[in-house]
This record gives sequence, C-alpha cells and structure tokens, in this order.
Amino acid sequence: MLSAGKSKTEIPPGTLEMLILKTLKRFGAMHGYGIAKSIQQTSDEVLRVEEGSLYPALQRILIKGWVTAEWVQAGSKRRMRVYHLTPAGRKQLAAEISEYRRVSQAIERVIEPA
Amino acid sequence: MSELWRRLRMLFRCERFDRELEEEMQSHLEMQAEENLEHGMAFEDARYAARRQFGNPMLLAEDSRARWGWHWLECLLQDIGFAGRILRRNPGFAVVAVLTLALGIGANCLVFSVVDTVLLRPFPYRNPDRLVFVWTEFSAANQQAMSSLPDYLDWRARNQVFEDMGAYIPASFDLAGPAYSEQLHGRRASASFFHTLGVQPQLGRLFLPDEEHDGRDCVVLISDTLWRNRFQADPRVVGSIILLSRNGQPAEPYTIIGVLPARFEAAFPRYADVWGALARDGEEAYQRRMGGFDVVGRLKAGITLTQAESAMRSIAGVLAVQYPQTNRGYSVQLRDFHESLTGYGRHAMWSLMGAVAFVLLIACVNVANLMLARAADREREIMIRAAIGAGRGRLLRQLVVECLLLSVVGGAAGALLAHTGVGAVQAAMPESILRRGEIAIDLRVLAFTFAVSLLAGVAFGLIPAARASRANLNPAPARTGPSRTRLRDTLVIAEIALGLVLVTGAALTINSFVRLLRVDPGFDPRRLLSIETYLPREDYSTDTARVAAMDVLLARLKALPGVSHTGITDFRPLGSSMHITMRKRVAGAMPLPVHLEAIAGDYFAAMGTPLLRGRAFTEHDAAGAHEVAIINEAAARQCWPREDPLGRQIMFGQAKRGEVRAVGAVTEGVREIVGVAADVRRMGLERAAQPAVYVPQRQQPSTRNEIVLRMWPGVFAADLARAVRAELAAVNRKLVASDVTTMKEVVDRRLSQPRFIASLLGIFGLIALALLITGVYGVTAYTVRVRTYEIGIRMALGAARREVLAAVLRRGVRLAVIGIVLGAAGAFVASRALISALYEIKPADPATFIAAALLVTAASLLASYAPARRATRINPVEALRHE
Repeated sequence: MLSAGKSKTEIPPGTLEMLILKTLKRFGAMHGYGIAKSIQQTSDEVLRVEEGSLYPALQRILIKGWVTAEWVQAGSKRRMRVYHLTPAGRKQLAAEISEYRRVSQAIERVIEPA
Repeated sequence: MSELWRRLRMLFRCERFDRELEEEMQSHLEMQAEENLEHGMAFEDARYAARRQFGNPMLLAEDSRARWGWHWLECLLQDIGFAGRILRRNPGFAVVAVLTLALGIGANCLVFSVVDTVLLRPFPYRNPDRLVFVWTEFSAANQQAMSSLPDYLDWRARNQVFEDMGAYIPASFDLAGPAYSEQLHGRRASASFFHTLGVQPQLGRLFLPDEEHDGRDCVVLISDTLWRNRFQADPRVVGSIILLSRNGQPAEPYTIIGVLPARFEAAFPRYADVWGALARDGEEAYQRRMGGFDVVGRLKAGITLTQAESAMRSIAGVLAVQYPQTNRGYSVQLRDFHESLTGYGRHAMWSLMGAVAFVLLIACVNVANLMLARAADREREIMIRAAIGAGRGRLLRQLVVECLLLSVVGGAAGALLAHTGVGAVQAAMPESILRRGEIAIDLRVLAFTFAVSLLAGVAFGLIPAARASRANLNPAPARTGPSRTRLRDTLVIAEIALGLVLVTGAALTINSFVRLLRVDPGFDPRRLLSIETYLPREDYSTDTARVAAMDVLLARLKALPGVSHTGITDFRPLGSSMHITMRKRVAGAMPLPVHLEAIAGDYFAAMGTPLLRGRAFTEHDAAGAHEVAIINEAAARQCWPREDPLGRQIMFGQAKRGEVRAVGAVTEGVREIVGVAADVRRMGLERAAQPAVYVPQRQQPSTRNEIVLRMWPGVFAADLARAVRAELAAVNRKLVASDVTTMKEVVDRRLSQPRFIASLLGIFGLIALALLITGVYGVTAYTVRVRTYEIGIRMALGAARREVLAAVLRRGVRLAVIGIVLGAAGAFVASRALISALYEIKPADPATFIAAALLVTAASLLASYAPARRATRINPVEALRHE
C-alpha cells in the first residue's frame, strides 16, 4: 500500500488463476500472502494482486481440484494454509498457458502496425 | 463428481470453513503488517495500512464462500429468517393474511381431496381404463335399458372385442335365523363377472363356470362388511354353510366360498352383502323378454370403445333378425366404466372446484391489498436497505420470500382446516357417490395444496413486491401517488367482481334447490311408510292364492293402531319401475311408453295422490270382471288432449325392458279407463311426470309388492315397522319385510345431491362475502388513514362532515358499480357451467342476478361505511399537527 510512484496494473480478468498456478509450479508450495508477493515481485511490481480477488480465486481452483491446501505450523502461534499444485492443476496450467499464448499472439497480430 | 463431493462437504463444514478462512486472512494481514513494520512504519500504522490494503474482510469472506456455490441457499435461509422476524414484528397483519389464505387454500384443499378421491383416481380394478358397461339400447328413443340374460350370453359367445364379459342382477336374499329372517342386500353375478373386473377375494375363491348351472349355484361370496359385522371377521367362515332365502323362495343351504375385499365395496355402485352365483331359471323365450341385467366388459388390448361398440351393434343386428319378437328395435351401447361410476354429480363437483378457485382468488386479492398497504409503510425500511447496498433483485427476492412464507403457512393452516372439514363433507355427501369414505387429506392432496400455496404466494405477492422493490432513494412519500391508488382501486374492483360471480353462482344453486324442495311429487311423503315384501311362490302359486293373501294382509295392517290408510303396489314411485307400451284402442293409434303399477287397497288415499276424475278400484274390479285401468294426467293429456278419457279403451303392447326386478305376467288385452289420477314424479323430483297407467292387482297379482302405510301423526315409523313385521310373520313365517323405509327418507335421498352442492356453494359464497367485506374495509380504512392530512385541511377550510362522508363513500360506490358490472358479466359466462345442476331456473335468471348484485353492493358499501364515518371524526387540528 506504499504508493511507490510506479503505477501498478490490475491483473486482466481470467488470468489470475493461471498466474497462481504458474507461481505454485515455479516455486512449489506456498501460502496466499507468498503467492501475492511473488507475483508482484516476479512481474517487477507491475502486476498487483488484490487480496479481494486472490482468496476467492484460490477457493475456486480448490473446488476445481487444481490445488490442494494444507495447514502448516509457522512459528509458535501462527498456522498458515499452504497450497500445492496437483497433476490436474499442472495440466490445466499447460492448457491455460497455450490458450493465453494463442490469444495474445492473435492480439499482437491485430495491433502490429501493417 | 469429486467437485460436487467437495462442494457438499463444504456445505456441512460451513463453520470450519469460515474459521479457516478467517485464520488464513488473519495470517495474511499479520505478514503484511510485519513487512510494513520492516519498512520502518510505526506498529499501529503498519497494522492499519495492512488492513486498508486488504479491504473489507467480511465482503471478501462472503465472496470466497460464494465460490462454493451454496450462496443462494444461505441467502434463502437468511431471507426466510428475516421474513419470519418481519412478520412476527407485525402480528396483526400476519394473522389476518394467514387466516385469509387459510380459508382460500383450505377450501381448495378440501374440494380437491373430494374431486381427487371421487372423480380422478382410477378404480381399484385391473387396467380399469379397459372396462366398459354394455347396455341394451331401445333404438327408437335412443334410451339405455337393462339387458336380458340370453342376450348377454349371446354377446359373450359371439364377440371378438372383449377379453371377457360379466353380468349381474339385483337379488333379494334373506338370512334365515332361528327366530327371524334378516334382509340382506344381494346380487347375483355370472362366474366371469369378478374375473372381468379383475377383483380377487381377500379370502377363499371366486365362482367357477360350473356354478352357473341350476342346482350347483348355491354358493355365495360375502362382503367385507357382512364378514366383519356378522361373522366377526372369522377366516373359517369360508366353506361354512348358511341358510338363505332368495327372492322369497324357501330357505336353502348356501356355501360361503369367499370374502370380497373391502375396497371393492366402496368402488362399486349400490352396496351388496351377498353375491350369489347366476344360474338360468325359467325358459329361454321368457328370459329374453326380461331385462334387469347390468353387463360389464373388458376390452381387448388395442380395441377402442368405438370399435367395440360397432362390433357389438352388428351382433345385436344379427340377434334382432334371429329373435324379432324380443330383439327388434333394440341394439347395444357401450359406456366408459370410469365415467359411468363417477358420472353422478361430476359436473357439480367441477363447479365446486371452480367456486373454490374464486374463493382463493378473492383471498389473494385481499392479501395483495394488505401487502400494498404495508409496502407503503415499509418504504423507509426498503430505502435504507437499498441505500446500504441491497440490489433490486435482492430486495425483490426478500419480498417474494415473505409472500411465500405467508402463503405456505397459510396453506398449512388451510390443510389443517380442510382435514377437520373432511368428516362433515363426507356426512353431507349423497350415499350414491362412490369412494366418499376414502376422502382424506393425503400426500397427493398435500402436494396439490403446496403447489396452490406457492402459486397464491406469487399471485398476491408479485405486484406489490415489484412495486416496493422499485423504491428509489427519494425520501418523498409516494403513497398517495396516482398509480398506487389506481392499483388499489383495481384490486377492489376485481374483488367485488369475483365475489359477485361466486355469490351469483351460489344464489342460483340455492334458488334451484329451493324450487326442488317445493316440487309437488304427486304424493305426500310425510308419515308414509313403505315396506317391500315377497309372496313365496311355492305357498302362493295361483293368482287366487295371491289375491287372498293380499286381502288378509291389507285387512290386518289396516287394523294396526296408528295406520290411517293402507295400499299395495308392485312398483312404488322413486324406486325401480316397470315400463310397458300402451295404445288407444283405435285403429292406427301410436303406441305410448308408460309406467305400469298394479295396485290394491286404498292406494291413492295412502299415497296422498289425488284422484282427479272417475273412481278408484274396488273389490269388484277382480279377475273375470270387466278389465279396468286408471291413467295419470300426463297419459290423459297425451292420448285425449281435448276429450274426457273416462270410458275410453286402451290396449297394452309388449313389455318394454325397464329396471325390472321381478314381474308377474303382463296382461295383454283391452281395458276401460275408470279414473284419472294426479301426476306422480316417479323417476325423480326434477323430472316431469311421464304417462302412467294403474291396474288393479286383483286382475294382475304380483309376488313382489310394496306396502304403503299412511300413519297418524305422532306414530313412530320404527314402531309401526316392528308391528308390520309381526303381522307379516303371523300371516306366513316366510313373509319378510325387506327394505323398510319412510317415503320422506326416499325423497331426502333424492335431494341429497342438490342439497350437498347448494350447501357447499352457499358456504363458499358466504366466505367470499366475508373476504370481500374485510378486503373493502381494509382498503377504505387505509385510504382514509393516508388521506388524514388532506381531510384535515379540507375540514379546516370548512368542509362539512357530511361532505367528507360523501366523498369517501362516493369512491366506494364508484368502485362497487364498476365491480358489479364486470362481475355480472363474469357471472353470466360462468353460470353456464351450472346448467346441468340447475332445476327450473335459467343460468341467467334476472331476479337472482339482481338479488346477488344488491347483496354484494350492500356488503361493499357496509364495508366502506365504517372507515368513512371515522374520516368524519378526524380532528383537523390533530391531523395537521401530526404531519
């Protein structure tokens, strides 16, 4: 929330789930806060994950069975819920990435100056 | 699949889910705060910053939960809970609305339970939709007649369209006891009859084909009722032997071969204690002339009723050629079984269903009005809820849920109300309606009631709810806005119109019933006892013996204390009857179908039927003497429209098959008319008298007789019946008083169906009036309340109380007039449905229409008068200060 000058961009709708899955694939099991931070950092602070959309998105992919969640003890008094990617999630990620590539290439072609 | 499982698990572990989500978010916040702290923020600032960044945790939690897909259910439960609290906070409104709905839905529930049990449900036979009744048709008059046994046997042997056929005939059985005989209701049925219906005995077996032969036919099936009442439901009764006397013949040992199921009793017309096997007795030609049999058939699969009918008609054509003496002019008609068994009162039942639909509509309009008034009062609440973020859909849903809650509670109360009313309705129902004992508020009825409740909830709730949910955030009260007033006016008009339709229908039916009550049946049913008895053939084998027995009987009965006149007839009015064709003894005279009665004693005096001209029969009108007859007015009118029939001669043609139970030989020959009697409505109170001829029993004795006794005032029928039984037994122990009844009871039974319909419609009409009065009262009172300020100003400016009263009433009158006009038009259309239930009154009877309109107008004015009076008592100072 430290408005550090640089403008942060909202994540385009529909891609947040793909980013969460990718993050889990790259860095392994992670908690919600970590996922948000890591997306922010990996994108050089360009993409900002709204907590308001992060948790509903996590619930959704949990229902779909793309991730599983387990509680781990962190320190003496805090528990954290850590999310793991499932094989179904891996497959879904591959599908979403290829779909994303296809669409963005198409957009590229449209906006490329002739 | 596994997704559904996860969702379901979530539903049941809802609390744990909430806790975990909260914990997860909490740890998120703490991590954020720690990081902020590391960036050098103050502790408190770090926490607040983290929180601000995170947003509204409540909304977030709800959003996350929504992902699991049970959001709607939670909302619904929330809405129901909220609706419950709202209604509890406003108990007056809730009670009035629930009671109104309970009346409307309860009436529907009750009438549906009747219609469903009595009309709609299939009868408990195997494939009941393939069963038909087979009737003999008297083609010249296109009339149904009972069939003869030889005809039935030929039909059964020759047809290709029925899987099987069966026939039965009423029979009188007396159970001979050591000291007395007991009359049982009986039938005799062919061996194929129960197989055709697909009825299995609960104990024992059915008839064997072999038992259709004379000598082997001494076997009976007994009813469940007889089995329980007389044999204490002892299963060993099967195979036991009882002494029965059939149609007045000497008692013989009969073997009980089985007990019929209880359900069969309720589902077959006219109860019978005993079913005997049907054997042929008498010679073929005699039998072919005698009708009296009912025939049922089971269609082969794939054969329609029409196909079967045309096949049967061609068989009847062959029989007409083969037996021209008896079968020419007769054919066959097929009738749907279900329709035949439910036909009696079918129309009336549906008109009741229509009536209760109107009651419910009126109830809905009432509650809609209440909702509208309340919606105006709740505007503030709704505005506040809209202001803190409730969407229109959510508001609408909340209001609809409130309505549904009301209607479901009202429906439950209505079902309870209906449940308590079932007994009364059953008691009021005519005995002839089958399965009336099975009426109950069962699951089917409850499902119907629930559906009706939901429908009603949507009906009365949607308009007010849609209106209320459109509330904008503009705090200016819109309750007196023109559109709102117009909607309320429309509802009042609708209510008055609906009420008038129902009241008119009820008034027509009651009017018709009153006319039926006033009908002069042609005899005086008060203090008139009727006793059926048979002269046993073996003891009274000759006409002389029968006449002698009759003389003895008449003399003894006349001497009984309490008896003023005694008569005998073979077929009394409102019972079974004998048809015959009569001709004037003139060349080329047209044959006229008439009812024939052979009478003795002071028959006309006992019946109270006036003898208009000529003389009654005397003991000189005996066998061998000049043959004489008395005709009724209808016959006189038809044969001698402008002449005096006395002294004219008539001839009888062949007996036409009618509902004949047992008949002596029908005299053919010439008779002279010696008297004209008043018309008697012998086929039913609502049916005009048909031509009838009376002949003296001395010239035509009968073995089956009905003794009619006119009693002195103050004599109890039961006491007299006991004395008559004793007299009969004193003459001959085999003489049994079967079927003892007063003619008052006979007439009442005939009136039970119209009485039932008229009283139910009357009750529904009253409910409609009551609802109408409360509805109009409510709306007017509300309008006055809303206009308090305006009326206050008017009065402050000098309006007189009378003017205020007139202003409020004028509005009421205007609405009433529009409602009456629309309602009368509606009644004009709707009352046509009653046409078959109305006696001597047209569905558009002007007097009834005017009376109903006046009644409804008076009711609605009465309802608006009280609030109008209150308006005149408004204190202008208080009214203005209040605002």
